Amino acid sequence: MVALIFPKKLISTIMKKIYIVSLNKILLCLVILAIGAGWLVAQTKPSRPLLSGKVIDTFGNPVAGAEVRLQDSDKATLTNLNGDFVFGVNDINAVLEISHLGFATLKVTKGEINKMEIILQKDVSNKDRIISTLYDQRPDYSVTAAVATVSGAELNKTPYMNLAAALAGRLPGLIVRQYNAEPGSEDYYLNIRGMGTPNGRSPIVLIDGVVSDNLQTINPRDVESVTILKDAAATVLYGMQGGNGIISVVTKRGDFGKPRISVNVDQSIQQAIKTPDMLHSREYAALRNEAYKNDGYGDNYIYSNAQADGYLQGTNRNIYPDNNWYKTFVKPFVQSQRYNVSASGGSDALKYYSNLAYTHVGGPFKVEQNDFNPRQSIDRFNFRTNVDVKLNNYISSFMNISGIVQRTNGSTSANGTILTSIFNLPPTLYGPLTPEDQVIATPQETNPTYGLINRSGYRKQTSTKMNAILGLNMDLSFIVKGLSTRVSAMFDASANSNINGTTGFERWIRDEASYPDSLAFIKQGTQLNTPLSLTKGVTYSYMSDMNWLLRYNKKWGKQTIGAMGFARYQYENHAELDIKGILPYKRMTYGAHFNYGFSNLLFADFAASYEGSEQFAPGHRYGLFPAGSVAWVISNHEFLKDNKFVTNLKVRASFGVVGNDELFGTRNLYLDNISQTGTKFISSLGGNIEENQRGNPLLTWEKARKANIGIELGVSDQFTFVADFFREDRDDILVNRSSVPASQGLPSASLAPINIGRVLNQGFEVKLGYNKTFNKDFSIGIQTYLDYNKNIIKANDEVKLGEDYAYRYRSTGYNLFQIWGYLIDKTNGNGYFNSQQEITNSGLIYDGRAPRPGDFIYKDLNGDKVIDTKDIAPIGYPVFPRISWGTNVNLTWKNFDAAILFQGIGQVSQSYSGMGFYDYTNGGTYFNMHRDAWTAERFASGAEITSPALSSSQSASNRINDFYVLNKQYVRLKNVEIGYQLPASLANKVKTESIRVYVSGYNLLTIDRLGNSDLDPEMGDITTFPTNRTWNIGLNVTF
Amino acid sequence: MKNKLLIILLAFCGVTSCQNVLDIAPSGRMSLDEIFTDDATTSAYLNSCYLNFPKWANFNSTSTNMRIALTDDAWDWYGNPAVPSNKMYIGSATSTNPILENEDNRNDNTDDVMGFWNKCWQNIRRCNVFLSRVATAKVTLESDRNRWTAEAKALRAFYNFELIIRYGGMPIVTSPLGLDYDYKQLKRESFKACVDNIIKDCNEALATPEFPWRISAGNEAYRFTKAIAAAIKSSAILFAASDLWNGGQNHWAEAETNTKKSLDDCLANGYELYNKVNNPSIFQSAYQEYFCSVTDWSATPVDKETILASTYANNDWIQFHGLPIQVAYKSGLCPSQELVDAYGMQASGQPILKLDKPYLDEAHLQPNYNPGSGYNPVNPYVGRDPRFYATIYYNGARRKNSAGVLTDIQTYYGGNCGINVNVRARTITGYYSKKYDHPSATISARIAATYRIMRLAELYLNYAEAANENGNLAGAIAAVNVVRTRAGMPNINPASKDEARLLIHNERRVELAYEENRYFDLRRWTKPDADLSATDRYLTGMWIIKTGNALDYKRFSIGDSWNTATGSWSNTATPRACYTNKYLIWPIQLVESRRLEAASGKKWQNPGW
Repeated sequence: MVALIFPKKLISTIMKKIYIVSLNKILLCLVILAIGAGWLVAQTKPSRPLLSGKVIDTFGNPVAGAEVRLQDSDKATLTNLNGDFVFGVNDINAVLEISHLGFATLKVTKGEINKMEIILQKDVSNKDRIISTLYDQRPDYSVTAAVATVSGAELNKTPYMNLAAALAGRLPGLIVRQYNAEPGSEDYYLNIRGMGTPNGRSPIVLIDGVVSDNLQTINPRDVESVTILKDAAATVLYGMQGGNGIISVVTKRGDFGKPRISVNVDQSIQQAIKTPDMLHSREYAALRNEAYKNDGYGDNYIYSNAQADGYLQGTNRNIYPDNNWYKTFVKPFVQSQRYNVSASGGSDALKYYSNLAYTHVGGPFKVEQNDFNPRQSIDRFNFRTNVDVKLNNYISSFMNISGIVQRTNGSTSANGTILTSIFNLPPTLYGPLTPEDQVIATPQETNPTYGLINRSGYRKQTSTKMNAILGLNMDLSFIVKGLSTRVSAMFDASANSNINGTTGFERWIRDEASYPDSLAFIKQGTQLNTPLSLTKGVTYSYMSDMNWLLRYNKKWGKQTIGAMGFARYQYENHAELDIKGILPYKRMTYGAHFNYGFSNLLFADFAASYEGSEQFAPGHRYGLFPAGSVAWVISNHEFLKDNKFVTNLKVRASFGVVGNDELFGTRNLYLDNISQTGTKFISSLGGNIEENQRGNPLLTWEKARKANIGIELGVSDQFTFVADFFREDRDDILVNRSSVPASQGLPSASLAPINIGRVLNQGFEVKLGYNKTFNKDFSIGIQTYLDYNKNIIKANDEVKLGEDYAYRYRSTGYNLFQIWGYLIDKTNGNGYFNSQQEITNSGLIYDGRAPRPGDFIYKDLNGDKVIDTKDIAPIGYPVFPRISWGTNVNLTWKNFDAAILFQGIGQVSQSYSGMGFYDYTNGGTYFNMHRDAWTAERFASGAEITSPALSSSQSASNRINDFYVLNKQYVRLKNVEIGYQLPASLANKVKTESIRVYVSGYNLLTIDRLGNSDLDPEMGDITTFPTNRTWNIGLNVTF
Repeated sequence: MKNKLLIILLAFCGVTSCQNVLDIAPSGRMSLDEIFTDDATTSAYLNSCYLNFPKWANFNSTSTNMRIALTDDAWDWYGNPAVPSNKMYIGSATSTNPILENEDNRNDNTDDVMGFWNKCWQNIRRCNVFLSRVATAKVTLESDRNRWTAEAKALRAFYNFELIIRYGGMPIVTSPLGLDYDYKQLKRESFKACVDNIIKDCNEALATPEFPWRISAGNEAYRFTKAIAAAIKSSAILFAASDLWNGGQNHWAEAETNTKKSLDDCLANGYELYNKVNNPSIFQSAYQEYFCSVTDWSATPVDKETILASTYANNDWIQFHGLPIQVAYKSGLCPSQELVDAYGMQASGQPILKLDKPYLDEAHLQPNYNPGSGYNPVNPYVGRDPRFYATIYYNGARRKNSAGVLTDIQTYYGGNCGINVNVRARTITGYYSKKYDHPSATISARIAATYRIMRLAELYLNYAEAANENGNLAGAIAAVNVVRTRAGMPNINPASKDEARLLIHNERRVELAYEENRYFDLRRWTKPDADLSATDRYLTGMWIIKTGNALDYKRFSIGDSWNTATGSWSNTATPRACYTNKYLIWPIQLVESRRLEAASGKKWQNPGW
């Protein structure tokens, strides 16, 4: 039966994969079991068909997945693919709320619905959508703070195991940048609204309302929604931690109704978008000769004409090899598989959501070892069970238990190290093994790639993480009507264990000097081929979080009032074995939140938290963080209520103070850090006292004053517009003393840092949407946003430089992490000294190495004829993008659906150096840009020049200048998913509720302004893992 | 109902308001106050006053010993423009480019860009912290307290001395500056005022009975002694009286008194010149043996001359200042012809050049021979001062090669150690350095030699110079002749103060060659408005051409090379650019001078920078 549904090809692909990895067998069993169970469930008739209905849209299409909820309760169910639902309700006067994203929420009484079709009206503004804010959930129209939400369904269109990857381009105000593209270990920087501080800038991540470090490992299929909380009003209840914003993830929960089982199978292939071009050996030899010639060593300094001919003709590749080491060691693509089985459902008393996922990612390198297994692979299991239990009319409890088991296998060398080593091997090198099977090294690279991959041993790492959130809700209306309380606790334990089987290997170097015409090798170094020796390492970390809150809600007439107070205790013990990890982080918070609503028109919130952290000295530990916000829903006024043109109009404003206690990534800076070290040279004195760091007893947190103004507009129920303007003035930023003279006697790094920095960060987010359903079969939705942020350092402990400096401040008045370097003077046409005469005529003296013909002409900004640090200037855009945007297009046509996501960043620069740019690196490493480096001949012929004259050592050109500062802006076709939903009739025939097949891709197309054909703009540099493109095919079956 | 509510609220507050939840576990962090409540940690703090103690003898594969390379004694070149000495030669030192300061950074952990300045100030602060607390610290033995106090004072004097001879007069800081210190009070003092303060510290240390004259046990190795304090005093007053620093005042009388006192005190307390060759089968002179030995710490040491030894017993000399026949990494500091010319003739005791005007031309290519010396320009390396043979490898000198075979060193073009300006391991002057090269050492079996920072001979020469300038010609001559006698040279007998000055200066150069003294000597002998063009601008070497058995000795400007085919010089020599007035005193790093100027409202930078 299975074969009927699955396309044959897919089945065979799956089966093939399944036998590759033994773990997959287990998963296959699970998938089959789940399918079986689902099938069985589909056979079972619902036991209590009390109330049933069908939800359709204005075109008569069934609305699948709409929530049907008994008003003011947590009893709810979802409609199936046909829009049908069944619901058990005893009270004849019960009111049901029927809601679905993109539709206005409808309230109907039980009597109105039985067996009837309920027609939902479109609402593209989504003003009824429930938003999860801190300690609260409420409909969008009543939210007074700046937040943005994306649903888990949307995120799962990105075929990745890492949730962070899916967030790019979907949330206005959230900036996502990849910094590690190693397959399976991808990692991302996430920032909300740019940068407000040079210190810790990461937003805190909440999973189900509790601080977590799990964002990159949570199973994306578990995610119900992700909300980013941007302004002070939204984050103030995490007062001292909320300064950088909050990413709040809510996981799925069970709904009232019959069990629903969903199975997903995904097969992916990842390939690098761009890999560096590796040069042919003849070209390499020619460029090396060119470099030495430029330095005055004459022609053929390294390679004779005969050798150059040898590389060119290739008749004897033993003596004159031409090896593309990248192709030799790196696989063209990496495979991965993901399987996911979830079940959810519930009854009056118990609701559950349960999920099991398995992900496998293969390794990037070609492995030849057979004695032990250094093959790269990552196998990850995620599981989660969220249960809600109603104990009686007053008490209910919930329990979220999730876990991750990840097993990683690989070489003992880090993948990054292995990859980098490839670039240190010239194409002229014979190898990778001697005819006697010994590893060949070079004088520059004594850890050659082959040895790192195949002969360094293996490492098997198992990480386990268990997280439990347990809680009790109690309705205290028997004391005061509207009063309730909640107690919850989170425990999180992570353990990490490594087994390292290390082997040593001999390095041999070809003796070219003595035997230029034959292969002869000499052993280098003292390493030996040694058998495996095993070591093991374990780390452990633990976190907990306790919460107790009291809530009071009251409605009278048109007014609603809510009050909430809570106490929270956070405890984190990190895995690090240094000063950061030895002692736990502890925080205590008391908070209160009051809200007032008037007739769906006006909403006002005031919240404050009083939070303390042991990062600070006793007496300086607690701070008060207040925030207030208001929203006015103009469109709910009578005069606009039935206006067909302006369907939504709301303005918001907020102001508040939040903090940041992530200071220098270290601990307890209020204490002196004076240590006694072992015996130094006077043994009779028995040790040294080192004053590593003087404490600042007045140490405090950063204070961010945040203001936000927002406007939301819906037009004709087709167009939506949201704009937010923010201004963040952050002061008390902790900075190292750089104005205290060193003659004070303590190195500046040891002086107590002080809270005197100030940064102003401003910007906006605008979001435009267009949604239209044209007819029964065709609908289109487009969302596009752009956000902009700009920061400026207002104060820093910086001394003004002398008058002979072109720029007298290096940070004050500039954006954070401004790049400084030399400007190239292009008044002669190309910016290079094109002859010795030109150098002499310029009269410029370079600090450091003197310029040669073919080196850059730097601008003498202070006019003293000396090119030195006095001439450096701010270059390029900030290292952090000012602009970030995304455009999301959703199309449905009959049973087909398509989602297309474009994403990009703008106004961002990076300063590149070293390998890939400085050609002298590692005895000469050349890439595309060096092929057309400056030579006198090339200049004379008028040919294009793409790099300064090559050199055998660091030249006057190889320093930070505007040639090496590149624009990292890009536009990507980030994500495309095309799906086909099998007709319900067909799906039902095989006893399933729905079957959907889809193909998707990630990072499909990129347009950038880097001007470097070897690099992708999101990549670190040439020796890091290149950004990947992913192709995915998937199947979803729901029972 | 209200009561119930109250109970709930009270419970809420009661449970959550734990006062101590944020108290951290005992962190084990020490405060400065705690340090001085314990004998062991107090002594450990004194130990940290030695942290990053300068090691001198600085060189490795890429760096060089600047205070030798930047004098007219040697030239370091191996074609890498990044080598600090090259940057200095081309004049690219700026106050933002701490080339000079980097020299002293090797082998310690304070490689922040501020280099030596920071190091001195950090250690002055440590001494000040220690001295401000030691009187009340919990120290078991009063004798320890007294010795430690004296030791810290001598250390403070040392760091202050090293600071001011580089940067000029500095603020006199005798207590640790707090973070709230008002820098408006901070100002540069005159050099003499600083020296007075240094001498005061030294005298207080010298007056402490528990402070020993000599370290006589290995477990106290490198600790400061009274002899060091006496030597600091001797040097400090000599500098203060010299042209660069005297501010137009005559301090020579005070200099003579102090240098004599220091010398006499050292002699009275067991210090004496290293006079005896213990291993005559290897060493030709005591002078040679002395520099190839390692300081011994015992009550009856062989070496009674060393006052302050570097902590760096260096065995890399053979590698980084080595000979091609030993397959050394580089030739390193190649002795200049000017240094070679400074060694007189042993028989006559006369200098080979007229000391008042050694060269007739600016480029030093035409020597102004001293007719009576007995020097023969066509056989230049015979009959010279024995210290020449202990310090310099020349064409015809002999040494074991890497295979252990005694070999003639051939520095002529094409010889086994032949001159070649393009090859790192070859000499560019025609000479190789020898002073710390143990004759039995090879690259694979190296032998360490201690670098001496202060030794007794210097105290003789300090006194000789001060006495002569103060008009005590007889005392000066007597002191110089003690040093010459040990070296195996005849006595000098100058008739005038001026003649004696030239001889004393030359004696310092020869006796202390490759010991890093000349860098500061040349500067302190220069008037504040003068420059070093006579000595440091043009340097020469000896290009020897061998035709058959005939050797043709050609003096040449370093950087040139002789083209045998065309019979002409390449004219590629570039004179050094680091001789001008501003190079007399180091720059304060720009960032630091800006800080100081901003904080104090006064000008701090040295002239020319």
